Amino acid sequence: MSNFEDQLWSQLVRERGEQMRAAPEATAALGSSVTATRPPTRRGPRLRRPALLTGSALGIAGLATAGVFALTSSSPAFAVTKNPDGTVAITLSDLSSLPALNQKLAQDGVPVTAVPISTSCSATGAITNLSGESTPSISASGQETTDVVTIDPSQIPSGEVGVLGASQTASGQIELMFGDTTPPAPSCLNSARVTPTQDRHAKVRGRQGRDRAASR
Amino acid sequence: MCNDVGGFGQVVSVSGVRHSVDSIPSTVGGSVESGAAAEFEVFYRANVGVVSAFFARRCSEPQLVADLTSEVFLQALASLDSYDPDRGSARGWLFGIVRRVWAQHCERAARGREAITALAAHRQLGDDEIEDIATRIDAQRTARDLLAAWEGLSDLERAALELVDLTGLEPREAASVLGISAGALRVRLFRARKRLGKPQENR
Repeated sequence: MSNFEDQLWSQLVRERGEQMRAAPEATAALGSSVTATRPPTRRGPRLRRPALLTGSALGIAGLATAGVFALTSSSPAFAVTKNPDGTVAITLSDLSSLPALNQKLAQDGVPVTAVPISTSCSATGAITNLSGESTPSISASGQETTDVVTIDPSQIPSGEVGVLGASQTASGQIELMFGDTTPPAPSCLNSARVTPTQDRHAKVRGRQGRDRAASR
Repeated sequence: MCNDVGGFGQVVSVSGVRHSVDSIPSTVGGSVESGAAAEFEVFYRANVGVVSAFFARRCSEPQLVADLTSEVFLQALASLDSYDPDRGSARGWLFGIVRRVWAQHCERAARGREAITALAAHRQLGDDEIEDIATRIDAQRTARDLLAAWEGLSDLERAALELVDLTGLEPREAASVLGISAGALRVRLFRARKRLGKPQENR
């Protein structure tokens, strides 16, 4: 501990010690928070990181990020949550629920269409290349409270729609990718034209996301 | 970000009572209290470094960094009742105070008033303390340059980046400090990192 910090602490004790002693519950909570906020121990194995996709490699620029969710047979298939700040959190755990997810997105006025990613899809030409600056922002969180893909619809350029691509890995995980395009949105995306880059930034653990994916 | 007040070596004009270093009790360098004070000391010592670093990124004058750091903990002590663990982390609560203290300072500076007027416990630093904080200011030079280079970002993006990437808060803590959802924080963080060409981190 530095000289300044020691001196300041001594002064606080001398001049404000009474305030500390007058609020034992609050000080106890603050003291115990230090232990609580130390580097967290993860509750489960981390799934592989999702990939950021680049348009130049795909002809699908604007694909901004991806999230990975593990599947369970008991988990709700999807959830769409509109945040007060206008962002929309989306989770998905079953590709068969894409139609229902789209229905929910339309019902909520979210200009995003969820489509499957497959090796046989040939309908990728409608995706419009976008600059990096105008790429819609996506956040896929690994935090316990935010295991969702979050989309900011306000960042989708006027006259375009968002496209949420979903695929299932061999291990059963759902991978989500987001971009935007001039409508109409394609019915699918071709996985062969979707190339991960090293610019990875999102992580999503499946269990918490599944547990909270309750608003069908 | 408001401008620094005073250059290195200048003494900021203050109206608070100053105590000489000699008046400080010699009980320093370890836990000096028990009970509630000891609990607060744990919290203080876990956070005083990042709080002073926050101000060291903004100020080049050690006395001002010390005053603002002191003010944060004085305000924290005065508002202990406002801390509710159910509403967020203690560190998030503290950094809410940090940002408020900085905003108050900037407001006073913008009005041409004395930068610090409410520090009941303000005291003039000793030479060793000045050297201590000057070292912190130097250590934050790179971060300070980064902050200056972030002018293209929105205030919210800059704040998100600083709280998470420079201060070390968890995104959910930074979201609490900024009064936005964790999802929105991540959007801002992602956008800011992308604009700066900064590799995305998994947090």
